[in-house]
Amino acid sequence: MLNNRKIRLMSRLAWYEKKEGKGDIKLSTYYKTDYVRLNILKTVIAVTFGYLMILAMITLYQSEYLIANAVNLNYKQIGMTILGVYLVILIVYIVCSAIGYAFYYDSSRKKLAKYFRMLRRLRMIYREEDGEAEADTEGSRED
Amino acid sequence: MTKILEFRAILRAYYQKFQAVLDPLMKFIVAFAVFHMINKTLGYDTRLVKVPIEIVLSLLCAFTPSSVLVLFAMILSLLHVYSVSSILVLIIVAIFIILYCFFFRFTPKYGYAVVAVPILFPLNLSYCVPLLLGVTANPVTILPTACGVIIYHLFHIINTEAISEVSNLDDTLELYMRVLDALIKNRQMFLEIIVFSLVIIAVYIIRSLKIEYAFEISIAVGAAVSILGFLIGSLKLDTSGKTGSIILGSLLSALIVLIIQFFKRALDYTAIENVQFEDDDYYYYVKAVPKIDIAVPHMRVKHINNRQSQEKELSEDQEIQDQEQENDDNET
Repeated sequence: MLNNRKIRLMSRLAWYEKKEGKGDIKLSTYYKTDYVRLNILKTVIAVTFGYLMILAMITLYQSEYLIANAVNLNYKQIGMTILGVYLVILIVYIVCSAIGYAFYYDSSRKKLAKYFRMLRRLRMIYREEDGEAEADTEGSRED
Repeated sequence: MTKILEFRAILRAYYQKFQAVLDPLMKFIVAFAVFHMINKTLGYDTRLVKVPIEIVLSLLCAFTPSSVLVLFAMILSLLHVYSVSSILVLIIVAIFIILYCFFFRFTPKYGYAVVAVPILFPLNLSYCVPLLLGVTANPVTILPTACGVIIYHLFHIINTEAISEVSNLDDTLELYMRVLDALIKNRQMFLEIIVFSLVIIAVYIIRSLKIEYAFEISIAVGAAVSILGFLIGSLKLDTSGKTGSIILGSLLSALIVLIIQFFKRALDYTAIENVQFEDDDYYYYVKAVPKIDIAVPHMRVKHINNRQSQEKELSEDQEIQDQEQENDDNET
């Protein structure tokens, strides 16, 4: 027989799994530190790649000047500046992404906790159904 | 107030009834407007400036997620520029990659903001975007909005300065220097990024306050910040000729955002959801219909001494009863 309470609960679970749950459930396979570290690593790679692109564009933009003054340039100072700017950008991005992803992880866990509560309720309904079924079979045996 | 609530209830009822058609239709209209705008402003490749192509692309976007629209819009723009100069495409792609690495990868959900800003700029309604994002999202949306502003100015520079004014488009370095020069020295672009960011933050802070009419007040304050910011900025940049358009555009944008906000609040959580799942005994195909809170009054006209209209009235009554019965069934 159809159990309305169960259908309502399962609908809510299915709806969550279809929408936000996809990302949340995937995220639940990580520990918080692992998740934040992984995303910081991705950010470092992206920022490094982006910074290299910017450097390439600046080099091309200043190519005439660079070629004309190739001998007189203070390469040590240029290198230090490039590295310094890179480190500053990198630190800013690492701090921001660590805060952002940790916050995102926590909010996702809260939603997931609600999902697990619903799952527990569903399990209870199943147990109730099993109990009723067993009682019915015992009753029919006694008859 | 009751009238508004009744109107909202009617709106919800119609939305639920025609949701399957309305959702893709709205997406189709938006996509068509986007592709038409791109073809109108960047229409260098005449093979692409055709209504059937716009319709086909819009149809594809109507049934796919919004990120597909962003992708198609980018590809279409690049194809137009490619037909004029392949070097310009390389410059655009390089700038896109930088924007992606530094900004856009953190907010892929708000890709539509990147498209909305360049599309609404020519209509003088770009002020809508920060207002709407402040109301509906969070301050992280400053990143895609900034990307949108940069992309608009990039294409604007390519359109007005690079393609029309550089005589030899094969001279890579000259073209590159010109585009980059114009982009870096574009103070208007930086002003727009700053003001839009301020608007998003102001709207977000005010609408998060626990006060009455927080949304409406936040939109009004956002419009005021936008007007003041651009007026002060235009005084600094000596572009005073735009005063009227700034005020008019901001006010009109605020009005549009108010209307969108009304519809959003009216239609949020009213969408019919179809979910499928199974247990040991059954497969379930559930159609979840949200309840409608306010009863919509039915207008009844009573005709006296007219047999035919009396019959008509009776049949209308029957229809109303049927509909109420149907609503009850849905709720249960």
